[in-house]
Amino acid sequence: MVGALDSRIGVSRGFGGRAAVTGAWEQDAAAGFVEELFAAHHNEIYAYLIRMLRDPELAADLTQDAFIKAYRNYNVLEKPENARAWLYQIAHRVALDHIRRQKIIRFLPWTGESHGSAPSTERLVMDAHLSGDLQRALARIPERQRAALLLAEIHDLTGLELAAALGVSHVAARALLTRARESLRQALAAERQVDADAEAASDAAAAAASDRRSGTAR
Amino acid sequence: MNLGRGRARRPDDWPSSHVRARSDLSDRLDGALDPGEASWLASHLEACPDCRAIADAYAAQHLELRALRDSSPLPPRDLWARTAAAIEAEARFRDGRARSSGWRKPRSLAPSIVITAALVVAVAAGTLTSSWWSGRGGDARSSAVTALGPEPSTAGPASAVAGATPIPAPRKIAYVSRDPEGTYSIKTKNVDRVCPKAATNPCDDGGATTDHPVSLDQNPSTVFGSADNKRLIVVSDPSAANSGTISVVPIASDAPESSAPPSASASSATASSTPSGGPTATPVRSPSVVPASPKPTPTPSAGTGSPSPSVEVTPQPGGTIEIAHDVILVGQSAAYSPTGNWFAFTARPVDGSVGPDIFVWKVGSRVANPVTTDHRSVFGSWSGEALVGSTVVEITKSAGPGLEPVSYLLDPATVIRTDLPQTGQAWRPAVDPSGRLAVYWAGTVRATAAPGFAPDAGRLVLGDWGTGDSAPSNAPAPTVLKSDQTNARHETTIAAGRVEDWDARWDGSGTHLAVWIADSQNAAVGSLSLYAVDSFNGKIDLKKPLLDREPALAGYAISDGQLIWAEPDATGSATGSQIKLLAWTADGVGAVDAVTGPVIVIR
Repeated sequence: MVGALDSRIGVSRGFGGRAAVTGAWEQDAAAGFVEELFAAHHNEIYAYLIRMLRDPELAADLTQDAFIKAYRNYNVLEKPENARAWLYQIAHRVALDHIRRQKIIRFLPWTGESHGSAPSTERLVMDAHLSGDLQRALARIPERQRAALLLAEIHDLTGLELAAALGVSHVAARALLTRARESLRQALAAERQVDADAEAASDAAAAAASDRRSGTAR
Repeated sequence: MNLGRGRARRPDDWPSSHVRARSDLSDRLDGALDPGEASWLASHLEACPDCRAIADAYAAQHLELRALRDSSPLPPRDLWARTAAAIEAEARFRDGRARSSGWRKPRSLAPSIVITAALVVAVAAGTLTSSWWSGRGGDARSSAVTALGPEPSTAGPASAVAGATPIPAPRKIAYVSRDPEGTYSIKTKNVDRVCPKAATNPCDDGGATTDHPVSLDQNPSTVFGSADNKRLIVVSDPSAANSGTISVVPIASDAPESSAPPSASASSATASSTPSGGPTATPVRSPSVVPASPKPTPTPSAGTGSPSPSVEVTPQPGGTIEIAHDVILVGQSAAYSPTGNWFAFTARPVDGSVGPDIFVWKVGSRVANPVTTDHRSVFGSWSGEALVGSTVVEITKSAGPGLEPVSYLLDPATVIRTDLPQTGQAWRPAVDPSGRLAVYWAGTVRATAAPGFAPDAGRLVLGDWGTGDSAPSNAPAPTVLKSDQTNARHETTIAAGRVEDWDARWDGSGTHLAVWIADSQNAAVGSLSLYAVDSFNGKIDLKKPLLDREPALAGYAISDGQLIWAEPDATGSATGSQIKLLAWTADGVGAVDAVTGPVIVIR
């Protein structure tokens, strides 16, 4: 029964396992399936992207991109039970692609509006909203490590799913998580040191002002 | 979280014990630390204050990260609208044309002017895979048939199809035709191509027709083909003089029907009850049968007026054997088992003395045996080599007494019956080849004027049949499903209200489902729909049929890649005006009007 079911759902049957969606009937099936996937998972995919990129508008655009890519690659997924990890994998790649482009753009002369290269208004609002040691520390660690931590700790992907979403072996996923935890620990410590320094500086400034006030009063 | 066991690292693999400790601390948070490593870590932490601080920091940030789960930002409300529009635009781009929502071309009931004596009976050619039926065999007849293109599954160049271009779909439709003198012949109609849904002009099927003479001694009302193309099962016209018989007619004059397929293990019960000794053999019910009624009727030897339909062997001239007589076929569900070793049907005595029972005929044997005796059982479908039947039990509801269906599995070889109370109210389930889904009547049934049953209050639904990986038969300790069957079995409604009769069948691969629903006024005609199982998620979207309620006579043939049915004529009589074919290939789906003339399409 299991085998029959698997082969039935597998791409080898029915639509012939072709690489791309071409026929109208397949398109209907693909669109219907993506619609279901969207209904079930778009909230978490959007949340993952916003946590990765800290830009609501960008996250919405990339969520849309991710589901379009899911539609295009409808026939790649063999087992529907892997759909969630597969979606995360697509979203992860979309996010990393964007970050890579951003890094390139930073080295190019600014010629006009280039979406995502500068913090949007929403992003600034978000930062104000979500800012905190943890958010800033997450933003400081390498993006692959950030992705691994977000997916494992917040999005609750289990070992093999995590590896699939990250596109690495599960041994590599574990190693990535180990490095990510250490990076985050150090980043948090640094953020807290900055906070402490700022607080100390502010205390010192207040003390100096107080000294000045007392000085003038004197 | 279980991250699985990676390659075990030897202690000297680690750059330092502190690195190893950090890795262990991380794994520990994911629940992936094995006991040996855990004890090493404990002793290391004991001796390393810095590592203890790191452990505390990891635990703290772990909790902080988890707390972020509670503050998920919500996406913009128009996100789906944007995404759907982008997908639609992409689909149009890939399609090279705007997709229309419907594909049915304007219909005009074909003028039934040709009321000639040619009675055409289309036969289930669907499962036919070899020999001259399908023209792919190597025998002499196949060479007489018009040369075919490649096999259906590999038909045509994939890129050549666009818009209304006919889709290459080499198919064969075998049917039985009667000439004015009353002689029957099998014909095969070749179809080379079908028209995609976007076609506005009818396209030519490009095929030729070939005759194959065969001798039938009676007026058929229903004809079943077999997968090995060696025989027809002919149900006689109930209105004709020689009524109430079900016969097996060998059709391969150049390849005489051989004896039963060698499946010794499965043949024990039936073989013992039907020794090949001769026509006087008296079928003996297996002692292992679980009687469904309090009065199991010992099957008597044949004789008219017997309370049970006669199953006496009556060898007929020309190799035809009568496997049952004085019976009327009940319902539309009769079918061969997936291996083709068994044929099951529901029948009741022609004299109307008792209600329906399920019969099975083992291929090669000389008689069909009843496998139920409660006179209220109907055959639903095959689930593997077990048949799924339904009976009815009296219930008392607030509204008064009623009849509720109960389904069961029955092994045709041993006649051992396994009740399926966990399937709830499910009558005549048509189970898909994976045993995962079924089409059934979810509701009560009523007794009909002729001894038998029909749907009463309820719905015709598509619902879960198996539970997870196991079919109901494998479920330990089945419990009666009473509460909220609709949700528990994820039932979606195919038809509600007054449903007189229906016929739901899956293709051999379980990727397509056809459902015919009888007209409430005239049960000989109805409407036929075809649905595809989503190859991705295994679900069926009933809102997106490949064939949407096409007028069709009772009885159609579905197999891998094709659906064959008859369009009713303008008068709604039991003879149709055309045989139609819908074929699905890797290149798309298309339909064609294959044979014109008064037709009765059976399976």
